[in-house]
Amino acid sequence: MRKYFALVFIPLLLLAACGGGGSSSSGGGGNSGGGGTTGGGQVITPAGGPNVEPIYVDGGPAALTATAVNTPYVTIQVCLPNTSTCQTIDHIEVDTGSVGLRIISSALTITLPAVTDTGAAGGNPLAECLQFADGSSWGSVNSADLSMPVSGEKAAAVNVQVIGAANVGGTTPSTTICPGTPENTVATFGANGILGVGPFINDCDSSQACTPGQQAANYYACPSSVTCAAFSASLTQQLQNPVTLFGTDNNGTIIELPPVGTAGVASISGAQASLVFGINTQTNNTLASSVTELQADPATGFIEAALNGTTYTESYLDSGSNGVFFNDSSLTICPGSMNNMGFYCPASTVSESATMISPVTSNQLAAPFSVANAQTLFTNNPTFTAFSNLGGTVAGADSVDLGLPFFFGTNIYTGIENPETNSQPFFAY
Amino acid sequence: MLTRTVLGSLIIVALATPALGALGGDVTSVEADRVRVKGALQVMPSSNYTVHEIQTSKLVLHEYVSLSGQVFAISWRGEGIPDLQQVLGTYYQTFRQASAGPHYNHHQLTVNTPDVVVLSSGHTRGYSGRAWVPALMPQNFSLKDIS
Repeated sequence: MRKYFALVFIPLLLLAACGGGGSSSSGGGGNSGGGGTTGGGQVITPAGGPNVEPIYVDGGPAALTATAVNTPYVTIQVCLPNTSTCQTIDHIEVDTGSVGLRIISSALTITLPAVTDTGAAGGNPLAECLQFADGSSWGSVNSADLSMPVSGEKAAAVNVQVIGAANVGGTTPSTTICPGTPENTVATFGANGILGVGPFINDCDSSQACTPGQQAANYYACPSSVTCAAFSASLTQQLQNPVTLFGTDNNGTIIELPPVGTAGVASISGAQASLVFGINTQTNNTLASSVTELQADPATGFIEAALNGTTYTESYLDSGSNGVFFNDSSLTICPGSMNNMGFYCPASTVSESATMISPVTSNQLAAPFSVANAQTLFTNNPTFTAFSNLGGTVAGADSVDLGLPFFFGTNIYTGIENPETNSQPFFAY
Repeated sequence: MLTRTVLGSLIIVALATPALGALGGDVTSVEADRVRVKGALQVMPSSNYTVHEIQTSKLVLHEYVSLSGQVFAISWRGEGIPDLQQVLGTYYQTFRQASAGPHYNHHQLTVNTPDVVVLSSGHTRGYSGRAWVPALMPQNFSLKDIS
């Protein structure tokens, strides 16, 4: 029996479909056959050098105990620094909602050197607790040379969080050090790792050392696998956005996913979708005149969304969210054992349109999206892994979260902050 | 009045027994949360409840206390997420059981049980969340008032 997971998960029994239908509000109705122009004028650049990596959407790595839905993945190569001892790792989630490269320890077969508190080999290895909205990941901080296999983009000495690493306590760390539901295995995390390409340079603090505190990212120095002390990680000891470490094409990304029709699709292959590195650095990543930038709040990365008469001030676009999450009390949340997933199950497909607004420049963009009956979608096609009309109730009271369904058929730009040029983080499409 | 009396007994109780945590607890557990996060406290009375705001440089925590002195709702907003084992108090186990199993969405979490509702969302640099106990809500309290 197929299980679907978006929010909280109780193993679900799919009930009889109650009908659906309606039309998708995104781009064309079909799935594009390959790189190129899709029905709505979207151009998907085929993968290749110097800066375009294939991206794929499927059910996730084999170790998952449930099928992933609307999760974009890339394949990376990591090497011991300055060596040719390398490993290619597939199913690394591409996440514009987080920052930094993280790999689950069980998926990593090479031993990467530790990043230490003193910076010297004899120092104490560093560890990090990173909180996500749904749990936390604990791991060691190690150094790797990163190479993107198809585009050839490279970064040396990238700080990587090796989640669940034995040298800092493994997959079940102390809950006083890393509180939250642990996500330290492939099965609990949903991927072999994550490439956080959100609009910030460092995961904790981009302007100074990461002082231990109530933020989501906290670092520790661990003299042994069972003793760790809170540690102020410097700018170079924190996890950096890997894109910012590429030699060029290092100021942002464009996620280019084809349109997906109203029934969803089984999967999207790397031949059909691309992760482009850089904005306005090559002829293939110019910010076209038809594209509008939405500069975000430089502290939080939030933009505003006006939806059905209410303004939601903590909104964002997020490739790591597998639905469009928003507040609409008129929509039924899927019943029964699907209740905790939070997806909507309207009797028939609903068309919504938000207006996304920059709190910095007041630029505005329409964001139309559809919400179909999630239960119907899953029942009709239990093996499908990509749906453009999956919506759910948002957990943040002041938020509209445009997740991956919004990305299908529209190239989404994520611009990384740059204090040197006074550039704000931004989203654009 | 209520606040002064509560603060007076707060000191004694906090020294005597460690409080379990806020949600469902009495108002002394609010002080336990404040001490744990090293925050500053501000108390804001409303119609039939009081909001205790605990502020640190990275996080603002609101604890909603009924007239009978029970914490019936909490919310957080800031650069991180509070220790839910601390702030959900005796409801933490229910939350963990209901959220057992893969999530596969790192930015949205909704836990909807008859005993407790927990919502958590956010991305790098910006998180927010709410939790409440339906059985402890005061009359005419609107969920929109949890902010």
